[in-house]
Amino acid sequence: MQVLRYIGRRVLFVVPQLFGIILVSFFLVKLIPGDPAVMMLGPTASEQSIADLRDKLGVSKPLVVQFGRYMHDVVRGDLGTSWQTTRPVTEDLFQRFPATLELITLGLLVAIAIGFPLGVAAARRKRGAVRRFADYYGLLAGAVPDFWLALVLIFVFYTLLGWSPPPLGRIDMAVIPPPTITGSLVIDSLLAGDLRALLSALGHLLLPVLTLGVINAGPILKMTQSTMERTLNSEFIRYAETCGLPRRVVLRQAVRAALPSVLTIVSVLYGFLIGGAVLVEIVFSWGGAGQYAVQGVLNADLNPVLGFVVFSAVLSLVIYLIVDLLYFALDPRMRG
Amino acid sequence: MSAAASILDVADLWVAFPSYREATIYALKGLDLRIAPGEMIGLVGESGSGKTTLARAIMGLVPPPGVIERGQVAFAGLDLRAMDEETRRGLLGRDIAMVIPNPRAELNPVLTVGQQIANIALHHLGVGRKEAMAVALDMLRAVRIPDPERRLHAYPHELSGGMAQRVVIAIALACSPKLVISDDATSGLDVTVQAQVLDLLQSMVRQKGAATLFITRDIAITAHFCSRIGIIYDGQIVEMADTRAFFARPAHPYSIMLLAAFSHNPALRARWTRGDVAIAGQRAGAGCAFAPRCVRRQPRCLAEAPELRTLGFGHQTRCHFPVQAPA
Amino acid sequence: MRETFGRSANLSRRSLLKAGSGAAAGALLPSALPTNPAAAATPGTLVVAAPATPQSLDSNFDVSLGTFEAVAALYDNLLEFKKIPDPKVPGAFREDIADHPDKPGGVNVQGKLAESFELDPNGTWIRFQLRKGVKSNWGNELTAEDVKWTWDRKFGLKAIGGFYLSTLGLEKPEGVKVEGPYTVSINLDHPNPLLVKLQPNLYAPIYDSKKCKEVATADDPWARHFIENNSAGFGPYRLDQLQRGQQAVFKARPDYYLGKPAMDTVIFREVPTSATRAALLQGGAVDIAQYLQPLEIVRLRNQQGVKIDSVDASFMIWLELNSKIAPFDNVKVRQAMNFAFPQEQVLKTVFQGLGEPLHGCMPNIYAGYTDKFWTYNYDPERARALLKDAGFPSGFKTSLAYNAGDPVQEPIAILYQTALRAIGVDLQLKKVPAATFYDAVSQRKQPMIFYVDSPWCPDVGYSMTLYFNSQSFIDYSNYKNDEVDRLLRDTARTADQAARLEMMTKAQQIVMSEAPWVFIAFPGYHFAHRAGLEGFTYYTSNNIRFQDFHRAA
Repeated sequence: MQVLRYIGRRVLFVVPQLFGIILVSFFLVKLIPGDPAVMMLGPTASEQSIADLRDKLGVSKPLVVQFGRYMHDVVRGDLGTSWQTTRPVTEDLFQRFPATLELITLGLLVAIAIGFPLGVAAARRKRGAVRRFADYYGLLAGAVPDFWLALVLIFVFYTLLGWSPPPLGRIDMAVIPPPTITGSLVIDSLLAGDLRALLSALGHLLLPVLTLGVINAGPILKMTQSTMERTLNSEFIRYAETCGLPRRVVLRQAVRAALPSVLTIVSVLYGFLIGGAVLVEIVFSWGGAGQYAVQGVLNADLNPVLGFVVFSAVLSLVIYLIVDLLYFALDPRMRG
Repeated sequence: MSAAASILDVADLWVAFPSYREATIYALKGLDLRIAPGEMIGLVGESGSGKTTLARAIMGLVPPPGVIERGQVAFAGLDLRAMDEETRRGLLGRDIAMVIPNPRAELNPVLTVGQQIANIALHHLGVGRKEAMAVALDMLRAVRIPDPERRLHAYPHELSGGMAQRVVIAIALACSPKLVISDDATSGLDVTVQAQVLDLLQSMVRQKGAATLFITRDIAITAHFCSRIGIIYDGQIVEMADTRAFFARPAHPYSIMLLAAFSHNPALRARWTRGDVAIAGQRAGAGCAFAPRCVRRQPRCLAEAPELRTLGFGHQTRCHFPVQAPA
Repeated sequence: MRETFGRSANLSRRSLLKAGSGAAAGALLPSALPTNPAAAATPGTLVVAAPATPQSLDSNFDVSLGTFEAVAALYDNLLEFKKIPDPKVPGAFREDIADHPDKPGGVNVQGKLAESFELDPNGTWIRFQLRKGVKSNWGNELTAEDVKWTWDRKFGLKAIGGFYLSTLGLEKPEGVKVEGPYTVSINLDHPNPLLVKLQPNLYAPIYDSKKCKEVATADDPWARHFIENNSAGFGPYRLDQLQRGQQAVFKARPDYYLGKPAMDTVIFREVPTSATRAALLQGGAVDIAQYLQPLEIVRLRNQQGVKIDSVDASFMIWLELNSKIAPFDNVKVRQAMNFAFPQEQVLKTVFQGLGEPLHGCMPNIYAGYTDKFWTYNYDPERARALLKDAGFPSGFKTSLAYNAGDPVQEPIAILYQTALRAIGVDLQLKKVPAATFYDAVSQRKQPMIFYVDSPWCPDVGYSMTLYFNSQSFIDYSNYKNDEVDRLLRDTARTADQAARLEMMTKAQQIVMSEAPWVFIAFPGYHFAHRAGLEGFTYYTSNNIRFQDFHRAA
């Protein structure tokens, strides 16, 4: 019941939060230099035709009026149209967000699979090879840019070894994608029972997911390690030791206690990666949401940028809600 | 008292805390302590005197970077230091149990009370999960927690301090240990609750026939519960006596200072406290560790460290000039 | 996505889930992952890795990457240049853009949608006889009405079409006359030398007016929306799919009047990272990788299975010296800036030896170009002396804006900055985001800014007028010289090619000596493709046309 009341309160807050986010990002996005009319008409356009187009796009009106119009449409679920794709932004984003989410969800799962056990192992022993490896790993993962790692992985696994499919989007060009249900090619091809599409989708996910996993394992590793170190030194773990509980039981209790912190960093990374995976998306021609927004910024196509912000905000709020619910499940003190 | 007859025999125990830049600090400096089966012994000292280190050293859990440099710790004739870790872990919680001072921090916050008691039973008594829960319920009843069926499923943060302390006692005594070490166990509780919990602990320990090492800062408590009292100062026992003898004729100036601190007589307190030394634990060089704070200090005290010597039956003190007459 | 959440969909999904997951579990071994690097080697499919998919398919409004690849595949023009083998690259072709005084208009063109044409020797009118039986991708037959409508649309929409009209000197819609179902003429008030040369231009594709009128609305009488997203043309391909930001797919038309192209399907795929495009080409996943960086081209040249065709091209890169901003209002300063530019070093280190020095002010592949007025070989002493003459003995401070989206500009700017320090000029570098670069260029407020361009129409007058006519809106250096203006005006009003060449030589002499630019390079065109792909043809519009390609037997 408490949980339900909590969710209710959170959902109520979502509306003003969203309004605030849109308000701030609208004016920030409008600060992005660049005139869509100039971009659309190119260098040989006359001033008259540019002015006409500006009127038509509504970008010659005062910002406040533009914002009013934008909010008026947003409330109706209309995020405007992208002049680059000439399609409604909402449709574009519904098509692209699943691509990004599939990528970063799997990427983070790999990151957890690498970072969490390594962090636990490193926390258990202050010296030794594992600890040194974890230290170097944390350092490198923080220093290596993700797009660079992506290019290296492409060079090794595609160009040299030929093990991975070409870095050309989400599915082999010769494979017909499964009918869209969730937007995740893996899930959709499973639902459709399409083995060929599934394998192709998994193959194409391999390198980008590995890239995101390897890079983002760094912060997860660091967080796990420091939390585990703290936990292993904490009073209740020392008490468990004095109670003579077997080593594995003590470790399990410590891991359990470290989970909320790891969950926090994972949720922060998730929120960050919605836009932060864009370089990896671009390198692999992923066609994801981040790529869409960046194209928007580069071409003074602002509706996609704003739409992306709105979608990300909603998604982040949902993620944080889920995380809070997970905290509830993990830590009985939250329920009090 | 022969070694075989004692349940715990600590001899010449040195625990060092090496420090990177400065000289190594010794928390225990050749400490000796024997406890007979069923005996209840109080160990009193200020914070930093080495009480807690002793408790941990007995269990083999000196927190790093501390190390036991030398000395002997024998439990029921078994050399705890020579023992492999698995065997020692088997003893802890089953034969040697610990009652801790701050149960709400030291109990696992994400496990229910029942689970935590049951865990002990599960791992030390070799019973099944269901039986372990039954043990837990029995123990909650035994420590007189009201509505034990419901409390079984409560989390530590849902308990009051006194109730949590009872849970810790339940955990400690679940396996009927031979030795219970209580480290400042009630210091966090209200005075009234403190008395209840101490009574409970005493009766439980008596009932199970366990020996008890009762470590505390509060000398008054020991008077009620312990048969013998040891005073620890700077990693050494400075006085050890039967309770009655101790309170009748405390011999060491430090013991008297502690007693004076608890009395409500300012004159007495002033008489036994030096005005010119504010900081405790100053290094005494070659002499008596307590000398810098001692009101009865003589030149010899600064030059030569006193040995533990026997004053009368079972009454030992570490002082060149023990107080002879009642203070 | 949302519509499919029906009940029946749920039911079938559940039943399929079982089968799907069962089958997948056994196959999820790494070895079972599809690892076919040469996926593109499907004979009839051409895969192009491009930096971007076209934003709009309407060349009247859009100049984005990929737009002209699409326009050239979807539409045909009335005329085209004849093709000749490229003199440098065996197996490659190019347009014959040389002067042919014996031919009408002095140009070696052939009919495309027009079967033949007649030209007024003075250059005031041209009459086309259209090919009969040519069908659009909507099945409508080509008529003179289509040509008329195409020109009317330029009048109606202005934008780029307006520029095209003014270049041609076509002032009113009535100038385009339907003289019969398959006969149409263009009639000018003044002679214009470009009447033929402009016809193959990608700004002049012929629309299927019947289809366009069908889809037009009161709001949108010129079918802008439709042409942006679809095609109504007489070209060899039709648009199959356009997912912007991802890919465009073109299908060859079996009913194309010149025969169905060899490549049946063209997948034009957006791959934003040039390193990835290079990797895809090397791995064989794509047939063509567009717009690679010089280093990647050099590396790929030695790779097996990959071929780089480096041909001379109409591209030029230069710096605009803004003649209205001091000290660049001073000719001596502008000359000094050229003497101080380390051209050789830039070509070697930035272009990796792939380009040629820009020793003139128009493409060197166009008739009428001359490099005989080039004097600006690197000479810092000369530069210093000129600055002294100009009244800047200890140099001055200025800034150079460059496009963050073009990887060659920053290193050039840095090299130049270093070189200028030697003559006391303190050059501040201003990095301009790609999104606002055109803005920055067209506002003409920067003292110095990079520019990369190519005049599509292979004509000396057209090229010179674009950049040096003070009336031209891409005279981004604010250059104004009355003599040059007069020469350009006269050149645009006569069809006498010999006289035009003479005038333009004079104009080049003036421009070169007055140096409104810092002359950098002809970067060339470097077509990176799989070795087995043949038929590459270079066009002065610097784009590829899918219909040219076929696979080696």
